[in-house]
Amino acid sequence: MSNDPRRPKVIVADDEGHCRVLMKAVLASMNCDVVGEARTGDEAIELYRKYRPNLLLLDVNMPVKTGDEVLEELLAEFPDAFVVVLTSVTDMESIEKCISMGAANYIRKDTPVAEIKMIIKETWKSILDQRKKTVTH
Amino acid sequence: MNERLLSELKNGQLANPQVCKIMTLLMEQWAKEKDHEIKQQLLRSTVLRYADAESKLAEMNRTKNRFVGLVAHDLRNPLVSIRGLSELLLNDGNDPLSAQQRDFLTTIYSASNSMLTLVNDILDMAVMESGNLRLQVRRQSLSRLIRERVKVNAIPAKEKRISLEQHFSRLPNLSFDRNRISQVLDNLIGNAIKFSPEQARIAVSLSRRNGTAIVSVHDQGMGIAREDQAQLFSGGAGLRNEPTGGEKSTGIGLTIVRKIIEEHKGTLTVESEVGIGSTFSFTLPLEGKRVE
Repeated sequence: MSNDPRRPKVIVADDEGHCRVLMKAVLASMNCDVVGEARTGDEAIELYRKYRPNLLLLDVNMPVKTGDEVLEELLAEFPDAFVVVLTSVTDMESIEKCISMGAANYIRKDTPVAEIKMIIKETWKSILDQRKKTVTH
Repeated sequence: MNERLLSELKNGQLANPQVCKIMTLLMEQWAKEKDHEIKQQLLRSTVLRYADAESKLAEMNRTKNRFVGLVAHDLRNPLVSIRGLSELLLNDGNDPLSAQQRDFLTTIYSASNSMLTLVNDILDMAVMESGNLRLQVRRQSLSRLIRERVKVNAIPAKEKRISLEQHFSRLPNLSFDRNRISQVLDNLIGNAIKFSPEQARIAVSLSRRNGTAIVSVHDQGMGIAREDQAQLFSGGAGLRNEPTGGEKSTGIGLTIVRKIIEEHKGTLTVESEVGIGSTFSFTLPLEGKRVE
């Protein structure tokens, strides 16, 4: 973990180790700083409170607390939290729920790396644009 | 008549020929009843056999669903990581790779990508055959989705120096399942890339005809022989065309595409000429027909 303030801070939450390894590698290649990784929903909330990251990549299907439960708790405490939900193809109903609750976007886990990067970049940009507009109004 | 003869028999009023006639009638009656009873028994055992088979079938279906769930989670997700990490090492690694390392990683990437496509296709077929394909339909812009999928598919197209063109007519928003129509577009554009030679041109267009939106993917590939076209949407066994850049093709992608389009109340067609190229088109209803 580096302390470079210019690099976006990210937390990856997924109960499967190999998924965390992949997402961490993707984020590192985008010059992000992965400040923490969580294996359960509870850990994700704890780490979020500790590091206040710029982005949380959150698996929707996790033990102890599921993705939508984490999202509900997190957005109640941090309404500006920037959360992108990770999902397998079979979880599409939970994804709809997470998006309606306030997740910025979702990424299907079988998406090729180049496209994952594109989704993260574009979502990040649209969120920033949206927030700029809100500030100017 | 028979009742009268029976009453006379009981009272001892009948002569021998009459007794014989009664006996014959009784025998016939008994034979009919026996025949009916045998048929009833046969029917009962057949019903029991069917009930048993149905219960075994239901059990087999439950086992299959458990297996599909296992494949979905425990086989697909690790494959995603293997493919993703090899892709990252090939394209974003910090240290330069030796020719052998690059060669091995390309093989790992390509093999895991093919396996992942196959696993996804098998899972999709299982969902569709069990009748559980549930569309999550929402009114949205089809041209925006096409632009997005063209952008994503431009990455593999670039490797073969293939240019992707887009032509759009103005259309109102349509009702469709974003993920499933993305899958359709990826499949059609991906096939066009796979079966086109280097430096070819692929055109994706969106237009309107007779109350439907038509999306066409036109390529300059090798074309498909008329006798092979009928097999395209039914598993593709025996198709002679091979991808031009060593890519893999499971052959069941178009079967899935057709089912998705049919669920949207649309149609999927192909026009192709050997040596010239192919155009795959699908329609989606614009208004009036409601997609559930």
